[in-house]
Amino acid sequence: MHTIYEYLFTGLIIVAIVVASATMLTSISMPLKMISEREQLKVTTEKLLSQVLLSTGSAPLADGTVTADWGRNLNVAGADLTSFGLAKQSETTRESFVLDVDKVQRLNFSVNSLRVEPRSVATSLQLGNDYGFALEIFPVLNVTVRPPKVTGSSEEYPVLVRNNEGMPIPGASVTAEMYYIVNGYVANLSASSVSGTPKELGNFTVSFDTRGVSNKTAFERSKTLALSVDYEGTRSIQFRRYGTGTYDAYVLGDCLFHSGSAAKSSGSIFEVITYRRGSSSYFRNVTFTLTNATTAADGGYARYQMSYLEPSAIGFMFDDGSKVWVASRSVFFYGPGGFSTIPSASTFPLGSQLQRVVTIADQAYVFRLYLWRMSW
Amino acid sequence: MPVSITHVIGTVALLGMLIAVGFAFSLISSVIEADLMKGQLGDVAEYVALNLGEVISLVDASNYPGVTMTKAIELPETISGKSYNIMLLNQTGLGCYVQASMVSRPDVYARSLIPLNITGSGVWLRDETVQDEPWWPTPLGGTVIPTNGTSAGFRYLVWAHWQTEIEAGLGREKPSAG
Repeated sequence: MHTIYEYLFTGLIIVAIVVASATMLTSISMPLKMISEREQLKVTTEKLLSQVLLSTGSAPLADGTVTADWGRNLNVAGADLTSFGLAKQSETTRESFVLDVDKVQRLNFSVNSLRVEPRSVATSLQLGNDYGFALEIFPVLNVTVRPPKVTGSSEEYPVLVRNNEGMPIPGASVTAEMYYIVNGYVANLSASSVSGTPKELGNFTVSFDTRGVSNKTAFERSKTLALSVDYEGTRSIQFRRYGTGTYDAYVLGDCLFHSGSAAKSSGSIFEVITYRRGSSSYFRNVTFTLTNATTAADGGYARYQMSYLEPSAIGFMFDDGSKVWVASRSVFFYGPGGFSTIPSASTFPLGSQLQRVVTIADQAYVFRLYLWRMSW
Repeated sequence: MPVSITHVIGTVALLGMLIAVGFAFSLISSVIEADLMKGQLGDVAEYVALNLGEVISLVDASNYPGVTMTKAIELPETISGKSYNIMLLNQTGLGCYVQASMVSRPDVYARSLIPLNITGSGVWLRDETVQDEPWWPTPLGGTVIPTNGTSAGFRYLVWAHWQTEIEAGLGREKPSAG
């Protein structure tokens, strides 16, 4: 009887050796497989980033044609996109990494029916349920304007200029104008001085002398700061409202939106434009008309048509008699709550991350793409 | 039972077991090898898709009909010492893909998406083997022969050409005579 036990024992040893070998093979191959999958995720991220930044994207129109300029076309909803790309459409050769401000603003636009949702982007990029992603767009120059110090006839706005690592940028050129609406017209007040406090640490103080302001009430009600920071060809612009009667409005294409219903059927819109000369920026303002006040499709927002949209406009002001609506063309979304397929997450899942410096509305931004696998 | 019969049965059972276990082991190792090859094929497919997507984007951005762009790519001659194929697929409704597969085992393949558009329209991927025309001139002085396979001794590149729509594909560069 013990002979059978010997054979059984031998058989068991053989099976054990094979199981151990197979386990070893699997465990050796797993790290290689993981490395390969991580590399592929990096390449996929690079591939998607190229597509998003270099392609215009497209959407079909009701007349059967396809438009690449889908950002400003209010008939195009996010779910209509057949391909996703944010590059600015041009009749001639497109500049690389120049993005369309309307397309970018669609990503977190306040009017629901015009917003492009992360799921629509994932569908048009054919990511399916395999990948999750998030986008971050923020200015290369981190410009912070602290609350102003108002003393008699002077208003001082402390401005901090940093890079994205928080290091000060001392050599920046800061230009500022204060815009306000008085008697139906826009007026501007140039900064009386821009001083460093200390400039070496990227701290500036923009001062306005308000002695020349004839209508202080109108000034306090509608004052809006236009601020440009230029550094070695990199520019960041802010159009910030400080007036007591000012409220946020939004511009998409040649339409202005604001919450609530339209108080006036038409009016004047003041567009603040910017241009460069040398290493500094300068501001000008132009006036056009707003007409065709309607209610946006999903309700809750009034919509006006502009008679003309200046391509270099960075800010807009509209006084409807009771409120001054202020819109800016600056873009900012950051963190998991910005634009992500899982907006409820507090951090991004482990995956791949790539970033490029892009130009939006003549300003330099960091465009960052996070990509992760939903399952490994 | 006599002792010799017991030995015969035991030895035959052990031999049978050895064969079965050997077969099982080769199956397991084959699956693991296929898994690793899939990973390498995936690397190749992703790399080709990335570069192809870039030249297509650049040709599209040029807004200049008639323009041709090429980009040299470095492809491994073999995957685990075996030949492989690269195919470009434009499946209606599914989009455009680069598929890399083993010649000896077509069931071992990996696909990588070229994220152009959902409908696959507007871009014609040259997924068939073209032996002669068209030969696109390259900036390096050679010519590009659109192809769908791989073979040693050639310098590979991805190309895109815009006529009425964008044509794109994988090619190999043939050095100029002289």
